[in-house]
Amino acid sequence: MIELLQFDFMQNALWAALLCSALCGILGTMVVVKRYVILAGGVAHAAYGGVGLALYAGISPQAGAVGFSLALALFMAWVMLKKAARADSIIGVIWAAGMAAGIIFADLTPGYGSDLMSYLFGSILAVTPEDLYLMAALLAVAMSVGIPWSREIAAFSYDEDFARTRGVPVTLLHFIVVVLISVAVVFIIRIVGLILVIALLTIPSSVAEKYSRSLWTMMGISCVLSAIFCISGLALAVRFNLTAGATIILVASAVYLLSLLIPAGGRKR
Amino acid sequence: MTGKDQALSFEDMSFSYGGEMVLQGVTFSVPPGEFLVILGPNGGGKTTLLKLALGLLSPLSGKVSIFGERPGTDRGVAGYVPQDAGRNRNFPITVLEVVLQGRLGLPGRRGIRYSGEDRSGAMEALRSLKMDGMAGRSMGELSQGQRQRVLIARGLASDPRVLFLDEPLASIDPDTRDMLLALLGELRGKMTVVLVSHDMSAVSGHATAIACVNRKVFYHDSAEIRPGVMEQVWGKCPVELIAHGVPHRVLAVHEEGKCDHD
Repeated sequence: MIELLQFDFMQNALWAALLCSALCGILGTMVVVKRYVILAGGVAHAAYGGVGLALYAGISPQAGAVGFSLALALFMAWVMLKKAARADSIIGVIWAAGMAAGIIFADLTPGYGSDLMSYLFGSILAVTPEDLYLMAALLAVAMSVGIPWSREIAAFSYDEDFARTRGVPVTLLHFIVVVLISVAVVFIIRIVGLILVIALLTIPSSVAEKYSRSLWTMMGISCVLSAIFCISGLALAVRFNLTAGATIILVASAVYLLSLLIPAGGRKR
Repeated sequence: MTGKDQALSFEDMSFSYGGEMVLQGVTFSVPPGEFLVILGPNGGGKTTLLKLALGLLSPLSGKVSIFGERPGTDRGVAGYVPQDAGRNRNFPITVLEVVLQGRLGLPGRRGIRYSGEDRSGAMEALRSLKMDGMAGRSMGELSQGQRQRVLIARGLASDPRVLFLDEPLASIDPDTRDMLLALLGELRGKMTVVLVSHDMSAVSGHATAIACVNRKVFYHDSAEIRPGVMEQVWGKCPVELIAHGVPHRVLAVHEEGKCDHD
């Protein structure tokens, strides 16, 4: 199996898995603690609509997905802020409508069915160097926001109202985090597919939350767990000729179930 | 009655949530050093009044000021102890990190980490609540009463001139309650305290002013609040209050015909 690493596509897949893990660890932690799971789901399905629209319009599917998801993500972020009580149902409608739009556009565009399929299940073995650069750039942006503003982000994540009374720009941080999550979701869809992106954003962080005493250790543990899930999933997929994305998620789910049995150190329940 | 000499002042202030009037024509001023208890029924606008004073909400019309300035202008002036809903119970954070959040926004801070001064300020606030021995513990390990004490320490960490507390005595054990009441007594005189409560008996020993809130606000200042006349003042509140041992007693109406009930 090691000899497979001499192939470019396998090296790219490995880099993609590592970059994807770093993004999932950092932004997945925000998704879990801020309860943005439904938003991430909405973005992922809206992205599918964007891919369909881009294929129909004859532009790059990746650009279509990013643009479409970003526009809807900003709208959803606004809904969460202004109409918190209705946010769940409004995002639910966007979720379904985005998916449906993707399918209808695919119907209207003959010959592109397989491209849309790759967005459903991911194609980690077909990752290009451009994908890797984009993910690395996003990671750099996320860290350049997160490191200087770490105190403000912790306060914003823990208690928005209190953070506001301390002068933390809560609304701005809300939009920045939502935008970062949305772009990450679109990139991660390339790796594990639309169906599995939510799991990769939430499972490592949900496991990590139980064993962490700060947001930053939670992010660190999530990154490491995510890398373990991705690489072992990838190895199993290659060894047994399985779909990589699905294998990664099954490994992650198995660890999640195990973590339910292992109590957190020194924490009263 | 405005100006820098008033700790908190509302001038003909109104506020609505999506077209529904929540507070109307609110006018009152609290001089420095008062211990104001805000009473009123659920949904009457108590928490809304507090959020307006903190600048978390903006009035529809009229004016709110703290020491003559718009709320939120000077981050050193107000401390906030929100109601503990327990929503973020599993959030990975230590006691000290929570209290340090109270040091954010203070003038003259640089760098990306909390300074030594921030840390000693936070520890001092924890000490005043006898929680300094738990600084390194996870918030998730604490009891409800301990969590409440940490939230009060966070509100005190900026050494505020006005401390706002939202139902700090709700759902905590009797021992913690007695301890908190003693602490609030100590705060009286050191700073202006504004406390929202639905339970008048608990805070009766400390209050120097009372605001009864049910869409309108009826303010009773320290001249009215003397031992013995306390019950009369409460008797005048046009709102349904919960008296100790006498749950859900409806008290007399403030001024006939002037009070709106939905």
